[in-house]
Amino acid sequence: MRFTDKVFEEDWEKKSLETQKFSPVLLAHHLFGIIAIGIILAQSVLSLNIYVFTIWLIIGLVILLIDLSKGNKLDLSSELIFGFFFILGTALSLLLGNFASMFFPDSLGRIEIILFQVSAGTCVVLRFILSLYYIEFSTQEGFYIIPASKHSKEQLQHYQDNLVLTDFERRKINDDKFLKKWQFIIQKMFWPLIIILILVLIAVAYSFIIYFIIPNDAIAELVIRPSLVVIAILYSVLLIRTHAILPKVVSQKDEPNENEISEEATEVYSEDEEEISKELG
Amino acid sequence: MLEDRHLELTKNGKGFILFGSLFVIVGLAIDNFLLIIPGIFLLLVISSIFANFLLTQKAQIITELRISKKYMRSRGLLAVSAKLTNDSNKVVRLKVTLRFSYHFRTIETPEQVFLELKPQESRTLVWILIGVRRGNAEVGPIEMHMGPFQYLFKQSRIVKLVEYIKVLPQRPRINIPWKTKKELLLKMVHEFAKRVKGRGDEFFALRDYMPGDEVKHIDWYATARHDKLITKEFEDERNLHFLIYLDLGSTMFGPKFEYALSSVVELSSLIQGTNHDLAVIAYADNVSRFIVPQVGKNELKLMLNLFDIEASGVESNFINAIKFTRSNQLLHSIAIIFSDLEGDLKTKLQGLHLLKTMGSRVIFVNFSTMGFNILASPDQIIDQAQSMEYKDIVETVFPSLVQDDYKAREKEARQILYSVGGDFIEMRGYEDNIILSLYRLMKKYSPSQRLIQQALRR
Repeated sequence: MRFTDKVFEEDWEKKSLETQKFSPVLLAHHLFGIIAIGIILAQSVLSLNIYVFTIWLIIGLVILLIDLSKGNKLDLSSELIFGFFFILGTALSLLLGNFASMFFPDSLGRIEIILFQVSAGTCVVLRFILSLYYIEFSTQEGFYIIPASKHSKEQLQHYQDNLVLTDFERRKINDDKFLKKWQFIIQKMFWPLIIILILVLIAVAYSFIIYFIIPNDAIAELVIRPSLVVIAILYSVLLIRTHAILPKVVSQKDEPNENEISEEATEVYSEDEEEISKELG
Repeated sequence: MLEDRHLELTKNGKGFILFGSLFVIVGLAIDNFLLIIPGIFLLLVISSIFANFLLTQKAQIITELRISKKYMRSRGLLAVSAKLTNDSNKVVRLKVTLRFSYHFRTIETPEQVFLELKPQESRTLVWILIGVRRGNAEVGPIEMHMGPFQYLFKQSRIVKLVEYIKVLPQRPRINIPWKTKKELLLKMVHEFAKRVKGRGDEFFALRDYMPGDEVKHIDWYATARHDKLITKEFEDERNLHFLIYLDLGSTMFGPKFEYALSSVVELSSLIQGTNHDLAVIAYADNVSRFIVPQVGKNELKLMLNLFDIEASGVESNFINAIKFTRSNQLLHSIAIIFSDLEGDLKTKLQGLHLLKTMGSRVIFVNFSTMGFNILASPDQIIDQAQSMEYKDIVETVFPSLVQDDYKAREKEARQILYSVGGDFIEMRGYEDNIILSLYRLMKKYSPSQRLIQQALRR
């Protein structure tokens, strides 16, 4: 059962502030996902492995379908699903392909493998960044109403005119315009991009250490790699612990509330009264 | 200023940590940079959030909340201003959300605003709200979300500033001139009250002084003129006793009830200024409120009391209200019943004859459901119209289905009312007004109208 108020609906119109239905961010987001999968597929074709190729083809199609079905709605869960499929694909291709490095270094050089992997990983990171910023914008959505009839327009205008030169004077809140929003995005993306660049450089350096400086060395296999794994585990434990240490709610009390004081006073009074009544019998 | 700080890593944030570490560890184990690079990125995002939290932890934002008025009419506007001052040395970017109860909606701007505050900068945000529902409403608290990626790490500050506002029923759309109101009252007095001489204030006639009359009533000018003692005679006070019955039953709801209540207030504010008595009985299955507005300081308080009435969900029973009237000896009154024709008509109108035996006149005011809103349960009409849109069904099909039934009910109600010498008034929406309807009714009783009717009968 529902009831409507016709007069109110004639006077006021409901509006919602929505993120853009089609935006370059969204398109680029999908594109980077496709590129990442494409690079892996190309690599598997070059390494002449039918299992790896089939697995990544299926996973690529699934991811593409998920992206298309989500349309213009991006959320973190879909990104996490994307990440899950990546891990799944890697695990499956390891099982069915080459256990050591997923691809065959015989038909594909080690440097080529590293380059392919680094570029695919960078695409995935860019996809993550774009989705994070898109979601940041989508949290700005909200509902409000605007006057629709002549009566309500006049009512609002008169009310606002009466508030001029008071504390309630309505000044335009400088909402960021489209270009400014983009400027903000680019500013915000500057440092992440530099960090990614550094990451890529570190990764390349690491690969050089593994494959050229200490090839087939026991130190690489038994010291460097395990120590890095331990560092990664320790770091994630540190993050979880930091979260556990932070208190959930911190309330600050600058001044005691007046109501509380009065309540205390009445309580004392009532207790006294009870005592008196007890004494009286 | 009371402030609560909420810090929470959301499910997504925990997922980021989990996936990040999984990516990095697996990637390192199998020398796969496809996993290492995204994994480190996920961990970096979370680390940057923690770093941001630690940096902005000490940033103080002083907040003041003010509202333009304490009492307002429904469909009226309210301005709310929040002054935010950044009391730190850092630039703070935050999302400010104003929370308010369901009585309000925001106009032209959403309830959340994105702000960038420079050090020691203060800005005033003004929201204009419209009151959509009557009741005790509240505005506040203010929520401030700071830092990026709120969906990963909730870092919010809730400033516990709450302002209480009373939203009264909406203002009547038609402004009736005072002359009409006065005329209505005069007509009612003329029709319902009898002219009796007695100890009133109003002058009735002059007559010779008789022993036993009060000396203070002697008209000395007339005595001087006629050379004998002449005294003034006064008319008995011709005040009417109005009894307003307001139905709080389950069938009165939504905008219809709101309009009935504002009609009651309009009528009682008209009567209050005069020397007529007034009492309001709000009843559902029992009498839930009995309000007698008074003249003086308490007047406003009692009127506001009237605005606090809420419709109850139970079925109304009129006979209990009548019993209450009889036990309180509210005789010889003009009973105006604000109700509708939904539900069981017999329980709604049961006991009208008792009112007649108490010497009261009955006026039944029907707030027609179809005039105010459209009621529909989808199951009922789903068989009739498969292809039509829900909105079309609600607006066209359903009213036509119930119209015939409604007319039959109205006829039945009229018969019952005429049998006790009562009257029936129909309110067909916001354009109708209770005072105008009563005025129209009283015109029926005017002497000229009566002569016409008698002539027609012959």
